[in-house]
Amino acid sequence: MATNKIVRLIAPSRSASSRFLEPVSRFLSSGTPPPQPPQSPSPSPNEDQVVKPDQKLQENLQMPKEEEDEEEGGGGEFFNKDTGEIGGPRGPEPTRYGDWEQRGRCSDF
Amino acid sequence: MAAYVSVGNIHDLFLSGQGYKGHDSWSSGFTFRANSFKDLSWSSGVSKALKAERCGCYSRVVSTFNESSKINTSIRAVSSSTKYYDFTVIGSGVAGLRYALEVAKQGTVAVITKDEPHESNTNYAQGGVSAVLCPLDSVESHMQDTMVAGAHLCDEETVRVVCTEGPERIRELIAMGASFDHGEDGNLHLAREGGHSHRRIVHAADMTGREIERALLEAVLNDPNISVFKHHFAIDLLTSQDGLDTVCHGVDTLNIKTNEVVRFISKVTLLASGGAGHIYPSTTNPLVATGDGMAMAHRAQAVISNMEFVQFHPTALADEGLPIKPQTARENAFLITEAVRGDGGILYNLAMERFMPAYDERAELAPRDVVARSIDDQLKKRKEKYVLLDISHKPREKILAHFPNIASECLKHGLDITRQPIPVVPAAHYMCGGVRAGLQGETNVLGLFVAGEVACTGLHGANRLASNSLLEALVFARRAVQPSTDLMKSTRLDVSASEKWTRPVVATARSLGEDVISKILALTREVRRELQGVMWKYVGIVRSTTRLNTAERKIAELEAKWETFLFEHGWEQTVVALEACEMRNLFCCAKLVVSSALARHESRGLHYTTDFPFVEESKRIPTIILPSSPTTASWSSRQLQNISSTSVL
Repeated sequence: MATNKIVRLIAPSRSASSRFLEPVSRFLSSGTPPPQPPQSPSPSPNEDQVVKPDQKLQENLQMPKEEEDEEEGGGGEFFNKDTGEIGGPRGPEPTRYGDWEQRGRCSDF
Repeated sequence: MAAYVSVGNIHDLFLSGQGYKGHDSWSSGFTFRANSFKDLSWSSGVSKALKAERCGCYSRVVSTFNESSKINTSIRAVSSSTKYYDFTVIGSGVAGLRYALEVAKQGTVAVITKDEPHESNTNYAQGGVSAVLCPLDSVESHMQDTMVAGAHLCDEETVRVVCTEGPERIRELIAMGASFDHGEDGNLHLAREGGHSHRRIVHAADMTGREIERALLEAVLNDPNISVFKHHFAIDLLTSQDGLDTVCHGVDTLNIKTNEVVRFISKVTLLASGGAGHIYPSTTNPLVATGDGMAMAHRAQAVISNMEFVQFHPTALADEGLPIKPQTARENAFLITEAVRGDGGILYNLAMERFMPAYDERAELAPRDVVARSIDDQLKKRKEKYVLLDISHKPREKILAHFPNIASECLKHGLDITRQPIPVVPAAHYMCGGVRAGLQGETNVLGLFVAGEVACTGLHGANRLASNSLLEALVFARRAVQPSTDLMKSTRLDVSASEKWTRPVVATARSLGEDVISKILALTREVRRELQGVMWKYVGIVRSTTRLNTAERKIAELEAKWETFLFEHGWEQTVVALEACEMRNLFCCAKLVVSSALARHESRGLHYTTDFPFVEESKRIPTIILPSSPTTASWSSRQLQNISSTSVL
């Protein structure tokens, strides 16, 4: 747990799996920096629904998130406690009946 | 109607010498005769003038034309009504913008879009993009899911390519600034949509398409090499014949705001104009989706494929059934989610009979296509406009918690879904067919590439798997980049080329008369509604040979009636106006759908016909429509512009 706390001091939203990250991966990002949506700090990693990709993939996908970690401006982003999803849709799982549903309206199937 | 429709394999066309896959076909179209153009319009005067147009000076050898007489008139060709670019992109959805960003590294790009740049089917694609991004997932699994959904009509190589390259395209989007939902440990959050056997849908809250469009548009607007021409409606592609090949040199457009024709001459053209939902009365597509690209390509001699596979959603909100009708016609249909049925919603016809159990033992929980067919059948049998979806027997709080969007939308129109049933009708959503594309987005027209919904790449087959459409657009837009840049580099554009084709003339009150214009407009709107009615009634979800033949006849009559009215009131071959051009494109697409549907003598995927209700293994081949012969043409099936100099067509 101590490790977690230290990690959190550095970057509030990191989970225990952050050992996969290397600071240098930040500089591998190509293209324009992504917009900076805010991160809601997570108390403990919920790994039920989230899958661990291989290291390189995680580095690649982690990069935008790291940059988001540095800045925590803007309004709150929704954190789904059941799925661990950040920035996701509120309410029931959109794909629970196979189509993509948001508040009753379907947009893809 | 198209002169020749067949259900056959495109590879047969290759054998007959009309091949366009591979690099062989490119060299036949462009023979360098650099010597004869040494003295051509490379004069500094022209160069300076063209610099004002912001693009370089080019010279292309087109072997069938005698250029010498045109050399001195090249200055006249330089005007604000003609623009020269290395690449022209028609459409500003994900396919068009993705491609533009990439080719802009090699040359100048014009992006033409008929409304605001963000107005495209992409913007409304709010589900997600599918890709293999989880280590437990595999390309083979994604391929399998795609092929099963496509009723095995997919082209296996295409499916493999798309499923393999998908993940990389997503990563690029992220690098470009699109922000997708992720988990707290930073991994992308992947959802699982119907038809997928793994979690693999990447999404951004509830507006993935909009997020991707936003990120791409931002990058495009910041790119100095890309010029976006909004409110420019593409009229027809500019083509010429080079032996057996058709070559595309650019496109004529109508600037809707200034009512002027603007001609774009380019070395390479990408068609990314999206779908054709508005051939049906109820569609999720925005108003811009009138099948312009498919129609232009067909007129330009491109091969069209699989147009019979139109994806409908069974339950869209039916405005006709709302107590307070919407003031203006809804632009795009409000799809009622499957979850309503999943949570216990019951379907009734207007006589309050529950009909689903008669069609399937799973009743309302039957697969979507079964439900769609059942609803369609009920509507046709009872000659009604909509059916009812009733969830009011469920607790009020639950309904409002799960479906607040439907509740508020209906309440706006006087309907309380906690007490009354919801009027629903199927809506057209996606066109699986389109302009036949090879593995690099190439078509049989040299210099013309396609990507996105307008293309038929073989990925979707007879039915699209959920969230595969954004993926297809991304992959093919990227794949078209290499052959496009190769072609661009080996092409020299002839500045005087712009006057080879007659110019479209804008219909104005001055030229036709105020009264005539308004009459034509009114008739066009009415004819559009009639066409949509015919398509829904005879070319809907459940088809039959009789109905399709009736549709063919009615559409031909309607088109003749409309064209006759126009031409009797002073309209001419080269006259253009937005509504009229859209109408001719709608007619063209409608006819393509009907011809294709008639050609398929089996039921597969989205195409269901009562005369051939089963899947036939021997018919498991794509439907191909070859270009129609010029003699049979109506205004909708001929290109507007004629080549002004004498040449073989």
